[in-house]
Amino acid sequence: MDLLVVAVASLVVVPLAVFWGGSPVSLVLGLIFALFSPGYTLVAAVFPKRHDLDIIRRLALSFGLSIVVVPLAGFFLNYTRWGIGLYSVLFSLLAFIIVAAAVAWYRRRRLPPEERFEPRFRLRLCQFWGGHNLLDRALLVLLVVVIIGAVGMLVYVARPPVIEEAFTEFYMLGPEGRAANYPDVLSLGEEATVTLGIVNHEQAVTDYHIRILMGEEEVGGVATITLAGEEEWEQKVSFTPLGAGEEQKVEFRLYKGNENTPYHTLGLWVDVAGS
Amino acid sequence: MNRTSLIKAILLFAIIGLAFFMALYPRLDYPYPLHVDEWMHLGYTTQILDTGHLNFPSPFHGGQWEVGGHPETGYYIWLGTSLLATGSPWLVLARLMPALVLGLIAFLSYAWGRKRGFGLEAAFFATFIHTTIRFLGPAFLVPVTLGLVFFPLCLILLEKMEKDWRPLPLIVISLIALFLTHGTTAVAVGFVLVIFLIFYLALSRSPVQQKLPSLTCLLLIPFSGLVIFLWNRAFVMREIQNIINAEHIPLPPIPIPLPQLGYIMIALAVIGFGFLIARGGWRNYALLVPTVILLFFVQFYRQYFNVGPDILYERGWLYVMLLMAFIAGYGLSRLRQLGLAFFQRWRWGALSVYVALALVVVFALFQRMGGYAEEDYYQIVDVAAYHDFEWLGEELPQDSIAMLNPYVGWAYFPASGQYVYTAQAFPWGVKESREISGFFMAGAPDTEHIRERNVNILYSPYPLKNPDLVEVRDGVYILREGR
Repeated sequence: MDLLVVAVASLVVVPLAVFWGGSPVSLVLGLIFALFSPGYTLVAAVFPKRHDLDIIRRLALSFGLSIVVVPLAGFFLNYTRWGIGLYSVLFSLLAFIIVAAAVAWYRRRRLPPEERFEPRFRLRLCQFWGGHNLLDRALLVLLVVVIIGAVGMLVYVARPPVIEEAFTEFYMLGPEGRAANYPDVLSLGEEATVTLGIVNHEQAVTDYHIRILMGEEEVGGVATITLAGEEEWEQKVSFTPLGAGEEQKVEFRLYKGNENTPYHTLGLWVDVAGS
Repeated sequence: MNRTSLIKAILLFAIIGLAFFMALYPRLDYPYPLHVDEWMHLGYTTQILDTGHLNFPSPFHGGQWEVGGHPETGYYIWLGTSLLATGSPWLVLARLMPALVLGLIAFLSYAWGRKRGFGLEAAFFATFIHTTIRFLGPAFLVPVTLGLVFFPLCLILLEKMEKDWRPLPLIVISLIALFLTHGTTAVAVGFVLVIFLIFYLALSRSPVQQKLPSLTCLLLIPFSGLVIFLWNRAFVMREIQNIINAEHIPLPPIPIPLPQLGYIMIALAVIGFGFLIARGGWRNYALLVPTVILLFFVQFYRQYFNVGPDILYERGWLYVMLLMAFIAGYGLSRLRQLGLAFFQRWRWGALSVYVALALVVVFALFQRMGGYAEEDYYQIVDVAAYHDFEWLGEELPQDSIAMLNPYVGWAYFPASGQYVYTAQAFPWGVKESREISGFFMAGAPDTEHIRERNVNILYSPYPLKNPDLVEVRDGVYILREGR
């Protein structure tokens, strides 16, 4: 039964990883697949008897030998035509798990039933609760709390911390919204367009405004933009050069709130031909 | 489940939860990998998955070098498999895996030590293994951390092999896998196993027939390292030549890290040493001798064995700390047994002993956390810079190459998926760092210089004045197309 559970759980990992990768279920089953299942079936195949190993050492070797099997499987794959990819890795490990489980099952079948290692997990909570005193019941509750605490700690570890660093992203893309085709050569009076973007990580509602300058002359801008925390803003913005000349710097200055000094400055150089 | 088993289960899960926390501690308020090695390993792992092969262009040198036969490839495969099997973003696993690995180290330490009566104690002190930016440690997602799992793993197999042939191939393939994951740790594990086997073969009263698997294992251990030689002979020979002929690459000496573990743990380790000697027996000597030898080696190797880079040997502190954790656990367990034996005649004797031990454990933990809190960890990138890298990865073509501070460059590829012109770790790369810094300070005026290096992104702390560049984010410049 244990081998069947491991094999089925491993089978489920493949579609999960392909179609729902990154989900909590995929994370849990995927980690079991990579960190436990190969070792467990290997240990079961090598040590089929109940008295070969106690349950603690079986579990320990299952984790440890999974760390042995996985790299060796990958090395093997490197020399095949499939290489190291999503499907080759998942299917090769799945094949190992199923073959090892089959060997383990076969070896156990050849043993008398009382000698086989066949874990049975019976949750007889009611029986335990009724048959033990207050202290033992308290210990059982404490065990559950500690297990939940350990799992909770793992969840806490996985979640990124709350970022206290406050900042604003200010970026510029080309007129098509890609990092390409920035205005380069313009004619006097010709309107040029870029895409500007702001992302507010200030952890508070923040007002911004944008000024576009060439030299000391203002050639464009955007009035007050109010963004909530983590809110994004992106818009095409145009400017018109007021004088001809080569290698003129266009500055895009982002101001925060009522501050007079720019918070961020972006820039590009344009050549402006006379009309 | 009886009461004793319940209590042990409670303590074991509490220790594993503690292991998770200890691995997290240096990055409680920081979301990204801390050490440059973590970024490098994540980058190489990602590159292996992207290319599908163990020979790949280095993303940290503009794709100009090919990386092949890397000595830690086994680790990249392990990490890459975890990424593929979970489908999770690497940032999630970068936080989760150190905790899981330290939890595994604690659990395997328990599994090995419990038969000798100090499982919980060994597991508890295994969580104390320190992490520094010099010799790394369990808080970092690096190969040497994974290698620590192999100590208790191989010791469990070794004990089983005292009466059984079956663990022999498992030990050999474990060492092979470890040589392909972290060779230095494989040498250390092999050394410990050899000592254990020598003591077992010489002093154990088991019949000769029963010792044959162990004797065979002793003979096979040296050959397990041959696999890396067979896999990439040229690389191994080159590295051997480099180690023998190269100038000693010194780093500033580091203070002995043992005080960071706390003086209670050290005292318990000393007590454990004493009990191991006093009680004798091959098992006790086999634990004591390699620990003492490794301890002396990492402390005094500079005077007697000045070959190659110091950094190779400094990892030895991790192995020493793990073995000392076992011995401290042994010491604590012996105190427990002696205390219970002595005080059991009094009504509250046993309870008093357990309360005293609990106080020792709590104070040991407080001391350890104090030592941990004193440690400085650097951050390669801040959150704003990471967002810059992510944005560049999203907005610019995948074949873009970025020029930035070489010490920060390690974070660029994992964050953006794009190559970096050069990334170096301190103190190496001072020349490259000065070259790039000087170029940025001058305003990056030479477009040809940029183009020759196939660079199209510049991440500069200084304002750049080249008209062929567009400043698309604060300090981030891209080369216009066709320039």
